[in-house]
Amino acid sequence: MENATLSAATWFWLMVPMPLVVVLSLINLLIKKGRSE
Amino acid sequence: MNAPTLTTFIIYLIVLISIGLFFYLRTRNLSDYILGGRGLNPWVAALSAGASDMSGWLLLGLPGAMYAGGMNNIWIAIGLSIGAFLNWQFVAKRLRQYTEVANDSITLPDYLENRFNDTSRLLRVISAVVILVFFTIYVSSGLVGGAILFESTFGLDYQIALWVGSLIIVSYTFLGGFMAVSWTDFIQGTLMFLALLIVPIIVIQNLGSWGDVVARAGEIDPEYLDAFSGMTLLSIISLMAWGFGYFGQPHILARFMAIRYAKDTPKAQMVGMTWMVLGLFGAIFTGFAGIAYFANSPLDNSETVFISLVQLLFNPWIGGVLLAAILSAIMSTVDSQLLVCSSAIAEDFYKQILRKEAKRQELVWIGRISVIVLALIATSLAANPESKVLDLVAYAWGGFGASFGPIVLLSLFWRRMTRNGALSGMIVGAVTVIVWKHLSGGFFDLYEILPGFILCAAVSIIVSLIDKEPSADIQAQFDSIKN
Repeated sequence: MENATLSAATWFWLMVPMPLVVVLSLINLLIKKGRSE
Repeated sequence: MNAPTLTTFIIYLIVLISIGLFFYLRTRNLSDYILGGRGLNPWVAALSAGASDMSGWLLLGLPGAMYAGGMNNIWIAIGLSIGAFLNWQFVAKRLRQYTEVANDSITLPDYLENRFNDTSRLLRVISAVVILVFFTIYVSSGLVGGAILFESTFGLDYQIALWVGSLIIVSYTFLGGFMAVSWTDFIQGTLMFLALLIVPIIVIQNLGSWGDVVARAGEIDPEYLDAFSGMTLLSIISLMAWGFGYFGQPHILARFMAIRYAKDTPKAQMVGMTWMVLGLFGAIFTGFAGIAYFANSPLDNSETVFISLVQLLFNPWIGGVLLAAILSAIMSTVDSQLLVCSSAIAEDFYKQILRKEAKRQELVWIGRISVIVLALIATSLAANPESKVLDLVAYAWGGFGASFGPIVLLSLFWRRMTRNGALSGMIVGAVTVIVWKHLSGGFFDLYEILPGFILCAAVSIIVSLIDKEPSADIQAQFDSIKN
């Protein structure tokens, strides 16, 4: 097998949705902090 | 028997039981025992919610599925991450506030009764029955997982391993109640997190690089590299539908109710989601790297991939700590579920139906005795080593998600919802899951949580709209909850 790699679609689904929920949680935290100050 | 591993396990278990004893001396009433008097800081609440949620599935099931099938198993992790995020984002804070306003409710059945001002007790009793049925099955599946771990690590007989594990878990749940469970969950969550970060890094390093892992897995079967191989739209939806389960899991919702201040929820959410997503990645990469590591000598049981890698790659002392993380994962879920069941018996049956005048200490003891009785039933159910752990987990997860999920969401966000709407939706959700589980082929291969969730929501809405509008008091209470 030469240069076996994960397909672009697999990389996308592996690396985008899960980190995205962490980023959204961070944004939520910053917004709430900003409002309370 | 491996002496360093055994020593590590024993030290670890002594620490857990000491925590139980510490909180035993500080438990004054049922609210302390069940909810810790709403005193969880955001870190403990977040890790405790995560650890009690994830069970052995994160260290045995998901790496095992990745090892057996490759990348097409990421969908369940994606579905769970999205579900957990939505639960924290929309349910956590509002549920924390509403349960306090609704007559200081400390359990899910308690909340539902107070939310709808249900004097008939029907809502409380039916929801407590759903909790007892599904959690007894859930707990027994956890005990099976623990027994398999003891059996494979120490070569113990299955039945002895089962009873030893059950005795340890019951000891500290019995003693310390919610605070002990939440603090041990916190320690267990930390240990799981470290194990899931360290193991994949060491395995990948051992194999060369990530590129080498992918190349070797691709040599064995290129389908391992494709998230869509062998998948249909139905199967992807089915796996992602696990995320719907979050809105109705009583042991996770209990953590939301127990956060010290409602304003702490965004911080707890951040901690909880980071823990969960990094943990899921650790499990995914461990299982996937296992394909390359065991390329020449495949494992008989795919779910032992994490255990096997730890035993082969780590010093036995460190290995003992990492294997204790698996025990942590199982125990932290089982203890939380036992506690919710004991609260259902003490609070929802004993106090409300049998002895209304029961004193606080009496209820604490009823809760404790319930833990023992339920653990005995669950251990007996687990005594058959042929039990399929993951099937039972999926069943219980689906049952809760479909019975309580839509009810919790609608009760928090829809003023017009009525008691009859909640009651009928809950029954329809539970029955749909049970019936769907026994059907198979074509459309019926869809995970039962999805049809159960949809029908529960639909019936709740329709019945509520047909029903008389909720009283002015109930609507005023709804409006008093801050957004």
